Amino acid sequence: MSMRTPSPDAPRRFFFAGKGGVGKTTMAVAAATFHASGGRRTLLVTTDPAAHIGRVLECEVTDEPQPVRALPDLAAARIDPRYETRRYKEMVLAEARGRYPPDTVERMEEELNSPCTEEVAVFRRFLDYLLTDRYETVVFDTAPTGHTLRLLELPLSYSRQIAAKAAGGQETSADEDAEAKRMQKALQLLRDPVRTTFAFVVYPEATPIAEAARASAELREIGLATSLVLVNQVLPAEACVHPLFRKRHEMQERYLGQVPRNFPGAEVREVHLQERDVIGLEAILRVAHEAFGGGSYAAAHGS
Amino acid sequence: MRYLFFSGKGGVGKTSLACATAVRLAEGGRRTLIVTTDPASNLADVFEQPIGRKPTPIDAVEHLDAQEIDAEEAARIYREKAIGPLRGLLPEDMLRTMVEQMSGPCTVEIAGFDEFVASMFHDEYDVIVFDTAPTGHTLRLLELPSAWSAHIEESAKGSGQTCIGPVDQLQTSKEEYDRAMNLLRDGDLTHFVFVAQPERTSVAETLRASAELRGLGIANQRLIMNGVIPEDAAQHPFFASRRAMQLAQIEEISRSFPTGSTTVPLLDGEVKGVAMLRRLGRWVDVDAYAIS
Amino acid sequence: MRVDVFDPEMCCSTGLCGPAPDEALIRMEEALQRLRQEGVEVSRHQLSRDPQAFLGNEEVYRRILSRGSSALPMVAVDGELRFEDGYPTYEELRTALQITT
Repeated sequence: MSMRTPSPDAPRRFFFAGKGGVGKTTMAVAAATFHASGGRRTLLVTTDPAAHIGRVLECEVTDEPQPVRALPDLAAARIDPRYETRRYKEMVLAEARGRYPPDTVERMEEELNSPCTEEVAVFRRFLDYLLTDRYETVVFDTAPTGHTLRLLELPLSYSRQIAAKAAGGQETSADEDAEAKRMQKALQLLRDPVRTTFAFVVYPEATPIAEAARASAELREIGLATSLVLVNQVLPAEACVHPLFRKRHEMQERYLGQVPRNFPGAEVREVHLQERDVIGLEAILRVAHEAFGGGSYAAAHGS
Repeated sequence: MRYLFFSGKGGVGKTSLACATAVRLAEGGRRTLIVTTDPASNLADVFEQPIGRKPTPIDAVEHLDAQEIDAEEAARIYREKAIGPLRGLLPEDMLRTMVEQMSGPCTVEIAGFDEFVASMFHDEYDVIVFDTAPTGHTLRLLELPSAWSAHIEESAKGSGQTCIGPVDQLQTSKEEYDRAMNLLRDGDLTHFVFVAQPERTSVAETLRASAELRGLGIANQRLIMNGVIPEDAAQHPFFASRRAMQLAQIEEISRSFPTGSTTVPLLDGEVKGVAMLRRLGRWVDVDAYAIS
Repeated sequence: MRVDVFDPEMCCSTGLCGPAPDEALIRMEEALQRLRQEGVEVSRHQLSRDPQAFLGNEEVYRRILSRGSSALPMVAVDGELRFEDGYPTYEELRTALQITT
């Protein structure tokens, strides 16, 4: 696998995918702190409604990017569907009031109450963060796999809608053209393996590996390659004395052996189970160094 | 009929425990259906047999059926119902455009939700166990009735069209959505079982989700703490330290679940296959669910 | 007095659930509302939901066969195809209705 080293200023985007509970949050936070502690302006975005990254970094995470007190180059934000929907509705209605009569505006308001609106609103915010030039690195702590795919496939279905409209000879408005350009830009960024990294987090058991392999294959079908697999919660061999843990360790070794062939072309890194909860900057940096520090990953990613 | 909802942020063993509970109930003589609404479900892996979109008998366990709600497939069926009759009558590229248009996340969401509600009304079972997707998704499933039923009602009054198509093409009616919501809130009929691991993130998430459900009127909640290191396995300082951390978390969370909590030990292998489900089932307290 | 709108496939009639609200669609719905209030029978049709309307109108169907999706939207007044290549304005519809009454 050849990986050109991006220039230090090139925008970097990271997506951490994987089944719920594998430790995506921890890995996303680790990646973000790793980049920020290397002096890159970094934004950590969570689409998790519970915003665990706040718990891990011991900071407040809100709907707009907030700097993380302990690390100056790091900011964090949550994409909250309810907040985004409200924001989007207000924006659309404010503009509509200037353009259309009251009953039309009322009808638009009713239509905006449809649950579909949420998908549009969340997608728009996701695009904002993806395309922002306010941060050099943006790390996404995405929700479990099924939803992750839908979030990433949105650019394709919307752009197809617009393309279909254009192909049908219908005029597209200036707004739609601008939107289409944004989505093209987003797609290009997502498909560029130098600027965007899709990383799967798993732990060494059948289910998370199988699910991640499936999801990874689906991403490949839409042109998104998986370049990194983090195997998390690996039991430290020297601690596995008791038969319960010896057996679990053996099981893990078996699955570790299977990982490479399930993710062709991806680099595989092991991260060990920690003695305590990974909470707080110090603990996170320890995990970050194990996951991203030293070795070929750091070299290839110009960190 | 009783409903058991297993909820919990993924990776905590929710599916394993839902399945183990279903096996225990079925082998106790109750006609049991286990349904997964998780788009990334691995129910088929756990039972080591294929599972369909309609209730499928589990070969190794009498009285037990399983069902995988596949929202994508449900959406595909809606599309085919609309587009199928037009094949041969319309140009190909036009049909393709129509398929694209009906493939957005909106369509998939309502199709999946429609299937979920329909699955609640299988009268032939004594108990239905739901292995739901990680908590946020569960809540969305539960909140959707009000959002969708309002949308459907508006559409029925107006154009007769919803996001997905004519109102009457949906399997379930507004009345059924409302009925489903009432069933979920009925503490005599429905138990919500949170599965958590004894570590800080899982505990915090569980407490948050529990509070949110209580806010929706769902009060009958139980807790299972899974993956607890047995005392005799915690001699090495590494695991002694982890076990101490686990016990502190167990203490903290048990206080918030007065209706009951169970601990389940860490097992020496993964939970795959019915034999393993029976092993796990030994720690499941089925009497707590009061299913006759 | 009857207006039939043959729409391209879309989620909502205001285009709100697409990438951005669609002004042309919003204006069209406005115009139709006014006509409804004036006693005109108005229907909107989409192929996936109401194919019979498309198949049942000979001119509409012929356009679709030869032009595919680019034939839409089309608007018929009292059963006769009157507008293609874009949505008409309220004034244009009003004029068309007066002529056929």
